[in-house]
Amino acid sequence: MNFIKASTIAGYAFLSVFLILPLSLIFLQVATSIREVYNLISDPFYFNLSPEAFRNAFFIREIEPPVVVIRGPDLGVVLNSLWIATWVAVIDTTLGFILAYVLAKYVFRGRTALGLLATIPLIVMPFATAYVIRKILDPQWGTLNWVLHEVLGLPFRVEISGLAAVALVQSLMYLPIAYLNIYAALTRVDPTLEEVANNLGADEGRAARDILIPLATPGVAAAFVLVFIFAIDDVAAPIIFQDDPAARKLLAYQVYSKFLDQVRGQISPAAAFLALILLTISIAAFLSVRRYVGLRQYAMLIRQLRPKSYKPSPLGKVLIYLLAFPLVVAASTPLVGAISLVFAERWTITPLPESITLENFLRHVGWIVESEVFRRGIFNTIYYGISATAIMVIVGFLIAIAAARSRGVHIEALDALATAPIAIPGLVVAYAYFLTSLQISAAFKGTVLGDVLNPLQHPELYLIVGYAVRKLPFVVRSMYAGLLQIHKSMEEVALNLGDNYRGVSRKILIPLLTTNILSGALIGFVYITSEVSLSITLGALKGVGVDTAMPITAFMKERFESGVYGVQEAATLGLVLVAIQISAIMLTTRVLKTRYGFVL
Amino acid sequence: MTIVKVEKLRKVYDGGVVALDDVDLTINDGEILAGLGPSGCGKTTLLRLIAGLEDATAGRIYFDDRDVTKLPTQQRNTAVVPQTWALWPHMSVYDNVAYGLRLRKISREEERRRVKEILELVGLEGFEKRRPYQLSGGQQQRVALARALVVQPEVLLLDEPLANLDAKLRVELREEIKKIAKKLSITTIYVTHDQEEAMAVADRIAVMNLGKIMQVGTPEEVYYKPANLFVATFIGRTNLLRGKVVEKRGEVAVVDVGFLIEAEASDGVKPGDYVNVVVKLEDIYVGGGRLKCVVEDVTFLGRTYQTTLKCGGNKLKAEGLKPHAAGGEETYVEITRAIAYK
Repeated sequence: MNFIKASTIAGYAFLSVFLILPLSLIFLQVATSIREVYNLISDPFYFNLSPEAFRNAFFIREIEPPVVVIRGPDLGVVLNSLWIATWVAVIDTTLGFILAYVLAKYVFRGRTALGLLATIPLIVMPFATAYVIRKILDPQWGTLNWVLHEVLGLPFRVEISGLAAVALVQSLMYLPIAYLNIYAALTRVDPTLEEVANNLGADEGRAARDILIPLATPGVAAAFVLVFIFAIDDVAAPIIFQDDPAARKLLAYQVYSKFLDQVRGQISPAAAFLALILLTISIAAFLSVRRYVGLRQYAMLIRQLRPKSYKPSPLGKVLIYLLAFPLVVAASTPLVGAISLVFAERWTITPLPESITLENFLRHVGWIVESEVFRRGIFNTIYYGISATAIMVIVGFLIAIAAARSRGVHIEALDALATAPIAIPGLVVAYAYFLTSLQISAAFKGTVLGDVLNPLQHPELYLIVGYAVRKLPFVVRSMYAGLLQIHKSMEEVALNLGDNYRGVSRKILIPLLTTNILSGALIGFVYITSEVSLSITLGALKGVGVDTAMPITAFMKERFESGVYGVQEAATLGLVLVAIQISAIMLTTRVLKTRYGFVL
Repeated sequence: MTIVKVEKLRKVYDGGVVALDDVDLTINDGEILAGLGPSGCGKTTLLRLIAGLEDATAGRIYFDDRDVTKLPTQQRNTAVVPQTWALWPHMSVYDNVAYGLRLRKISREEERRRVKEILELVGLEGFEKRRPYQLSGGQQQRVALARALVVQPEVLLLDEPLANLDAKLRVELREEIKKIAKKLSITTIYVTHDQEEAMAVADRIAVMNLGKIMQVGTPEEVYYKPANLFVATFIGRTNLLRGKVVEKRGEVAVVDVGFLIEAEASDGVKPGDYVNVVVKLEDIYVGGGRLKCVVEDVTFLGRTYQTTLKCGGNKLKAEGLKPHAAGGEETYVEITRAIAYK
């Protein structure tokens, strides 16, 4: 058997055992409890299209001063998830398009600064962003009402809560993802195509309408769907706003909450059914643009052309200075707020964090460093990150080489399977792993293996494999792109001289792929360290003790939920997380002597 | 019917790269002018400035007496055919060709008539509904040409339009392009780095290097009367010898390059000067003459033979229809024409 065939089989084997098998157990659980599932669907908690659903969506609370309340319609868990994800995708695609267009097409003062600002929200501090927005939106003490009512003297207050607040948080969180993907789509269009249209008489607007936008549409559609999937899978924002019952009526939150019930021993098919709906929606969305987010498409991202640029028209200037700049500032605010929490004494009943000092910062860092449990959390994050990255690199290489060096339906299927985890919600993976691990450990009950495989005793194993599966597409993409750059003749010459493919891989391909392997590993590591879904579910199975399996993100959730001082600890842990990510980026940059940007 | 005139045209890119350096040039009405030069010589920049796709740093561009320097590309009524052809992949052949007409808001009937006419002219009738990727390279090139010609531009600007095609097709298409441009009497600028293509297509050639125009003339002029050393070595296949002028007899300089050679003296060449002597391969006759050389190698090139010679310490290459000597043999050669440049 040749090396490519062996790689293909290895890729299939890994994905079958660690992706298809666990997911199929969810199907099985739903199929065996179909009657209970039917009862569930008919509950208005899950589907509600009665007029009642819109009653509290928007109203004015007649008190002094009056409060404009925006909560969004409550259509039941399933439809809520759909409308919020759609709303976030529409808003982010629209704003992301404007931002990307401005940066790709216009030459103006401050362009570099705008580009830099626009990518700041890519620095991920899970839960912290949502928490800061909650503080800003707080109807009584929040920054927004302080500005509107106290500073500007407007005769009303605003309350954005429940589902509307979740939608707002997610819109700010995922804007950079939309912007970066649309920017890539716009800059991929050969500028000559527009120039010819200009030369034949089309002005900027006409050339954009006739040439640029139709050609960039697949990329824009992909951005829309990616944001949709990220939003529907997000559990951080609903958790931060969970005090409001409406914010809990989302698929991701419900799967999470049912997962916890299951851990406590309350077995119900609802978790599996909701996970299945979440999975189905995400996969359906993903399939609609799969052509544009597959490995083969990604390879085209390498060739970024210098886009055709214009001097901004008066309308362009309005877009730049009155929309794009304020937009990126707004999108960066939560992160700035989150960092300021680390330096603040507290942020409770004031519109802004109180007493921002270096002393506070040092005190908060001291808390983290002195705590054995937090140190364990930091160790876990690094340990999981490195272990899962090692798995991703090995499996990713095998899949990438199979996809790049052979053709056929089975390769197309492997490509699809390796890219699919982008669309598989982390909570679904967590739930599927939990189900599978319980079954497997039960099968070996009473033996040492049974204990080792018990997720309640040793969730680390499942966490590491789960992370590797979830973030695998990013590593495979990086390596696949690199392999396309290496001409096949280089391998053929070595084979012709008598080497076998294993030797060729070791002596020719891997040395030439170093940059792609390291950059893929870096992207994978960074995404793993900030992963939320698996971390707060499987990661929390062992609880909070000195031998805890919780990584930093799980601790952040736990601390944000715990109260006043917990917030400072959570924010400081977030900063440690960012420091780990930046260290990894700097280390890789140093090794590769090159700069890195992150694009999906 | 347009005369294109550029005066002191200059283009400096960000970072201070001078792409065009005070270029003066006139392209006559209905003339095909080839911009010829090596990569980076500024020929594409010149074309883009005339098209209005780039802004000039300094200088003026006139179409007849109209100053179009500040006019946006949309208003210049030029038509560009880029090297990549830039066919819009999401449009059919018909839509690609009709695009410029639609911008000019002509009637649907007129649009159909003109698209049909131009597709017939380029030999693509019946291909209207195809997408660009369903066409061969040559057909795509014709669509790009049709799209440019259908708007009846004042100036047609072709940027290495045949660069992506194989050699045989290039020869066919360059003849066709010339025929069509002449038939429609469009003032045409044809940028290429292929001298044979430039010679075959152009009424006149502007040879460019380092952002400057080195010489403008008919193909025969630039070939037989190169204005400077660059043109002499760039056009045709040449030997370059270095030597000292020992005597000057009128317009002829006698140069010692290891042996004595009589060369046409370019401006300023005087006795005692060290000069470069350019000898075209076809100007060395092997098999008779006064200069004794040793044949190092003879190579059959298909139509001609190339002979590598060692003559008085110099290595020379000659091209002729027959091989007059074999490798290792001694032979006599005659240098029929040489030019000396300072």
